[in-house]
Amino acid sequence: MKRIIINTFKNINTFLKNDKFAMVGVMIYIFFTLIAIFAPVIAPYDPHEMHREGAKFMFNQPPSQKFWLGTTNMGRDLFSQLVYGARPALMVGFSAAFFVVIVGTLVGLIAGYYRGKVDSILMRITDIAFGIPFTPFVIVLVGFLGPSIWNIVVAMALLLWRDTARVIRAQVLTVRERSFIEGARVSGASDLRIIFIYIAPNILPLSFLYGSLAVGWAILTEAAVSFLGFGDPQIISWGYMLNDAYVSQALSRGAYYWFVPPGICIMLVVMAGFYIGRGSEEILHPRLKKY
Amino acid sequence: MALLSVNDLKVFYETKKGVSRAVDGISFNLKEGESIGLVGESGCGKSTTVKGIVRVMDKNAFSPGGEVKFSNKDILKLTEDELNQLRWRDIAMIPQAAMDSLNPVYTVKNQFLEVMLLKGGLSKNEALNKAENLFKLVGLNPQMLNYYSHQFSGGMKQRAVIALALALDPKIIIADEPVTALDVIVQHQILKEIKDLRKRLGLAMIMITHDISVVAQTCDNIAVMYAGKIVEKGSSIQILKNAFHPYTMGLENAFPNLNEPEKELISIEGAPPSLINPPAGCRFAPRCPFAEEICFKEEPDLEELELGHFSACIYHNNLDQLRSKAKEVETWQKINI
Repeated sequence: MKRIIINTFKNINTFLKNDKFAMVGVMIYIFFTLIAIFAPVIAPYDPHEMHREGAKFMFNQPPSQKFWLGTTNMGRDLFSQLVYGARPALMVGFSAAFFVVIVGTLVGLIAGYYRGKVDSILMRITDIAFGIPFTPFVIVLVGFLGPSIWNIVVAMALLLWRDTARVIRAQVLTVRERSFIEGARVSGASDLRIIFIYIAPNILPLSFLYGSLAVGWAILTEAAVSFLGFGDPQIISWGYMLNDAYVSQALSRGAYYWFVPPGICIMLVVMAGFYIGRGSEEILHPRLKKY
Repeated sequence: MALLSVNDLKVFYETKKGVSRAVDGISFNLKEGESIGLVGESGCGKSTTVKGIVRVMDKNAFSPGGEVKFSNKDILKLTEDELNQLRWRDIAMIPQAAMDSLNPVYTVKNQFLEVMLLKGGLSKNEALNKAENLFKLVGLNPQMLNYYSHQFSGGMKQRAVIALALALDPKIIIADEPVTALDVIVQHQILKEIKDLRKRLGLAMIMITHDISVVAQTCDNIAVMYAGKIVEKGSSIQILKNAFHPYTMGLENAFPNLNEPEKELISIEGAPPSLINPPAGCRFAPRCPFAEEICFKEEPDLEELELGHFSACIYHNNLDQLRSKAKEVETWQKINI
């Protein structure tokens, strides 16, 4: 077991050296994770604080030495908001991706392996999940549960496993017919052993791909929902910043320093997720390894 | 005494159209160290027979009768646990698609170790040693144990799968078309390997193939199957030299002969009958150029015409004449299907 872990790390290391895209993706993630963890240290001010000079509020300040990215129409420091915004983004992204991978992979494995009735029931549930539009569902959840970033995680755990489950199931259907699975069954391996030890490693790259895409999706959805004004007003996220900028007409005023940075951050994190997903296939699937 | 004796084995498939009698009363014996080849066209029940023997039948298959005796136990009556003890340890299988038989995400070594540790109860070092020896035995570099299956060529994969089948020192190996997917040169090498291994380890073998030249090279005995039945069985020499059954003669015509390279290959017109409603009488009669009226009414029994050589055909005499007629193209063109 220890050797497997060491090997995996070695593999990840050599692979990162070879795959520039994945390297960039991992670096972006590390960068934003560090920012999220050390946000209170990095941010110069409390993001909610309204700055004033004497009796005068510092509204709509352009970038300056004091306010690196300027201030909002309420005199709040934009750079601090941007730094703190990394926290909800990553929290939502990773927890949603976790559920998407776990639920989707389990449903796909079980439906694909057992087939028959189990398969029909699980796939009909998947069809229902496919029938529910995602963003409106999140908004309805906000109505029931009150505004919170966890709505997005709940909604993704409830709905977005559907794509993963379908794709994994299709893959399992082909893997289960291969003779090494038949051989395992004939020589007395239990169903669980076959599913998790023989089949699962064959489809893991796909789960990871969908997981890393889900990170991007979750961050994007959080941003969209906050932009629409259904986000948690207590928590400053990149989407919230965009919404704030939009509502206060920063766009028409050309206050690029307000809406461009959060946009770039969202874009970078979503991109990083995709690059890593693209590369994880290579780590986990020996066939694609370069020598 | 026979190591494995199959008596009147039946395996039927439940289909939407009715019960398909894929294997309908098959009997043969396999002595220690002996090999038997099951030959026949596609769909005549060869694979189903061996699946029935080790009871790895598909979901819709069932075995309504028969007996498969292995060391005084009837395999068909064993519980699933007892069967698991027996499979691989006593009877191992070289599967049809070797390409697909190794899990692509584990090294070959891992797959050897797993079998040997979990099923064989060996220690890790013993298992490693044994895996290396097996690799040497099948002509592979033991270093290759650390490789993944995609790093093997087709022939190497086949060798690795053979080594894997031998992992627990079985007494019988069942080879289901072990060389069909390989090119002829590799085929020859693998067949030679199998033959050597059998001699060295004293293995008994059941080989399934539709290629009569493969059995000629590797098997002591041949059973020719047609539509779920054995139509002729005997030693390889008896069958290849003195075929008794018109179907065997037809099969031999369909393969090139080194001594008569000019000869045209003749195929048997038509296809095996539906096994859901098999024709009354001899199942080969509709395609047989020598069929008489009686052939369509009565089913001939398997009769011993020569010591150890059985045939299920009404023709017992003048077989030389039949054989020379069977070599002519015109004979086989007469049949209308």
